Amino acid sequence: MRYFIILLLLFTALVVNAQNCNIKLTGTVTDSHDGEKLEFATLGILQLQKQSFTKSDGTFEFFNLCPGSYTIICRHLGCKDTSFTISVNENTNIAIVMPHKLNQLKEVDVKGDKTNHADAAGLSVISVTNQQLQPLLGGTLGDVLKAAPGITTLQTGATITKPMINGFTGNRIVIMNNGVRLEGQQWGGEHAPEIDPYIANTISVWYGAKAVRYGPDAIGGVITIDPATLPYNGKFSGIANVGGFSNNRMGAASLQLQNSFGKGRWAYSVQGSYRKGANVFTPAYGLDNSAIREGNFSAALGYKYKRFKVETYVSRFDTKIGLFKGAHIGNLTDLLQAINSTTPFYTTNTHSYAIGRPYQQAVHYTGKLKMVYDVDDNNRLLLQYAIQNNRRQEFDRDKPLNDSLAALNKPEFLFDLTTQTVDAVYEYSHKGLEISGGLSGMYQSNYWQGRYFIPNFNAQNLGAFAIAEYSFKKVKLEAGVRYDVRFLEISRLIKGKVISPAYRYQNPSANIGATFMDVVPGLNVGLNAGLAWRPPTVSELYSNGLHHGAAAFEIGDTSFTAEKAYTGSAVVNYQAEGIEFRVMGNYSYFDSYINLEPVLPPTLTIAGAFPTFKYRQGAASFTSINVSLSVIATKQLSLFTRNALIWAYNHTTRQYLIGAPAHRFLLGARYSFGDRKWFEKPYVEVSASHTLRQYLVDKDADYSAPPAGYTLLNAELGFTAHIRNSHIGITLAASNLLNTKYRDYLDRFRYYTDAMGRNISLKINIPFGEIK
Amino acid sequence: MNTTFKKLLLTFAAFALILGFSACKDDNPAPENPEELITTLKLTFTDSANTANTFIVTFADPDGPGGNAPTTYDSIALQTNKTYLVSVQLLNESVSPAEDITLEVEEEKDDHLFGYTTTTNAIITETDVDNNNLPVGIQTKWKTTTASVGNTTVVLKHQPGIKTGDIALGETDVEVVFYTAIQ
Repeated sequence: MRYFIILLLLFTALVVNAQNCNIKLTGTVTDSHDGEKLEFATLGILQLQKQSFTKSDGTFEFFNLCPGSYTIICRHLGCKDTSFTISVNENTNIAIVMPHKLNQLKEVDVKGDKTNHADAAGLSVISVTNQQLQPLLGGTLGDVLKAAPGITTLQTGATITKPMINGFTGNRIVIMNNGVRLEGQQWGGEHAPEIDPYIANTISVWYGAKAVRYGPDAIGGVITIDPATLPYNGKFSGIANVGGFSNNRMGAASLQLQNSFGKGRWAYSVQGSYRKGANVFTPAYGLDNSAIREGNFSAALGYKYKRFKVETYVSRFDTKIGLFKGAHIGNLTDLLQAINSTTPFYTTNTHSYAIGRPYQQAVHYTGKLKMVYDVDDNNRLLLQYAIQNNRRQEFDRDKPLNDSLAALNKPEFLFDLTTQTVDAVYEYSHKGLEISGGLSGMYQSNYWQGRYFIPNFNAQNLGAFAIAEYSFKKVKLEAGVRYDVRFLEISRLIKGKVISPAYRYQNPSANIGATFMDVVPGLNVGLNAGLAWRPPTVSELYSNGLHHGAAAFEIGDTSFTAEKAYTGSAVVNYQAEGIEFRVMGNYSYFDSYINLEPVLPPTLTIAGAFPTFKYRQGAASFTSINVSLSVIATKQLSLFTRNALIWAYNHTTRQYLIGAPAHRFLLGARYSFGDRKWFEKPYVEVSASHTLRQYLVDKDADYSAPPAGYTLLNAELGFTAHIRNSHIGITLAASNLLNTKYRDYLDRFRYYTDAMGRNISLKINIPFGEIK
Repeated sequence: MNTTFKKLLLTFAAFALILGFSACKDDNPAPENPEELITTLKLTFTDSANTANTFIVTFADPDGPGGNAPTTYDSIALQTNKTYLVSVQLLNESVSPAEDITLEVEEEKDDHLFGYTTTTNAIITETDVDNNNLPVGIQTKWKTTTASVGNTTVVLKHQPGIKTGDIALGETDVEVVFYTAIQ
């Protein structure tokens, strides 16, 4: 906390001070085709990673530029990207003429060059792109996603992370992996998404109307993870990444190669990555059996001829994660003992890479075939088929007592989920109007082996959606509607008899939004309202068993109806000289929220008493506010702050919901040095994050009271080495620099152990060949 | 629409058909009872002064954890100033014939420990040892003194590689609390 205050003082002092670089760059963007002024064109300054949009009269503005030479990139839907270099020494006005062209990248039509970027369309998407991702790669997907505001992670130790958007996680958010909706065992708190973070070129978080395209369930939002597009007409190129992490002595590497052939009509990309980490260390002790191993592979091949494009994609994700032995417990007595001991059992001081029981292993295959047909400049048809198989195995700490069973070394839990999806989407765009509509079908089947937790099931989902966006003058309107029907058939064998209950859930989803640009110069306001729903998951309906990792008995309820939510959000974004401010507020009200709640009495078994949790359905609300501010103090120094507050309330029990993130605050400063020969864009960044104790929840409602608040100091140093013709990115970073001992409320291991101590990492990004 | 596009559309339709046909039902679910279950704990008491005086105290939950509540949950009734030789037995009675889990504990006795704690006026000591000369607790001796009532807790801990004789260590496999009266 002390550092936090010091930084705050520093921050205030510097805001008052120096404003050295104050050159203004203004301009107009017009369409070469008809000379029309283009609205909502995206302007980016590559070197500064600054971004702006054109207003209804086609004009744009950049403030606070220092004298120098800059590369300007201009993008507009339906136009070819334009880039040029300009030397700026005084206030400058430029005219940009955009060549009209067939829409090339329309599926991903918003690409920011900047973190915290608010989409012109409803301010409803936040993107993190390649250059911002680079210093983050090597960690888990959750670590990478935390760069986006509003995203926190639900963790199980340091190696298993699940993204959480404004307090929603698991089945309430949708993750799109290269255009395919990820279907894994998302219901489990310790089941991380099966995606290789190294594949990501752009990661976006979507709220609002565009999110309805990706199906129901997206109550909290949609995360899309997209690789670089295939390089038709491109030359051989590639990217190699290597990373080393001090805490758990983890090494990570990835390699991606791409090229085109056959007169540029064919293009391919192959990619693989590997991570291997040893035991995780807290400031005071190491955690026995917390090593990790992950190997991933993907390949894409595309063919493009005139207006057709066909692309195939296959990927394999394979991870094996050791679970800290001291967090595997037998019953309530063991749990209380673990909570009351300051140092857990099974600590270690060895940096072992061995993974023994208990551990989990997940293998995920994805295959995709996509076809795109551009009917003309304004119309496009897209068809996609995808198949996924997710196989998750969980091994308890102890093998069965029975020798013959133990010799088989079988997992205590095995879930095998196969999902097939078909999507057809039609898109139309003309001037300020964009319309898309489509159909999607899904077929899924799950089977299990080992100890019963959720039954076998088959599920089918049919959905149709339509989205329209219209912009005129300084206003942009958007609306999306969707209707889904979901069939679910269970198959259970009880006392030799197969029983197969069937369910059907059907509901509409809808979303409307409006964006008002330049309400006063530089101030944009976005408003959004929606209706979302989610069918109950099989685990919510049918789980009935002992969760050994959590020492809890979990009981589902087959009478649950679909979960419905009414959502509203407002975004205010202000950009002016030396300042950028963004505040986003979200409110969601559920009349039928499904929540896992503790019940009495505990379940009595031969192994002792177990705390019992029942899924219950009732009214709940989520309110969140995200505030970010960045101030350019001098041409070298910028200061930033990002803060997230959230209140999740159960209206039935009249208590705050267990498991929602605590309020968190971040304050940082970035100092950029000038280029020195081969030493480009060097910078130092220091940030302090403070997380409050989760004071809202009833401290007696959990096995142990929420842990105390904590402050972490992080530092990062980076530059690009310009050696011959390549630009090698080098980042040296330290998280938890002061080796602070802490426990986080959203970490399921908080009952047993402190969180990870200081972790120093070195990451090197080596692009080679001709980069498009 | 030219022929290339038609071909593509056909390929796509073929994939969609595969989806339709592969949507076969999985009608062979696995049975929902665990392969290894401990349903029953039995304590056999023998009066050391009169070996004909034996009795059994039982906890039984035949359908395993959850589901129906335990069907047998006896109390322990002992006489004052006596010494009892007690042996513990674990069974899986959900299968026929019942499986004796105690034999498997015996086999892995170096990694297991039965612990007994009581709030009554009795002293309980283990009379058996493992290969490292540490107690196992399958066989015990219960020495009672004056009249009293309270609880006796029987615990089985799995302590792979960490067994020292301390019952606090390890993961609990069994934990049953018996109401106990010495009179």
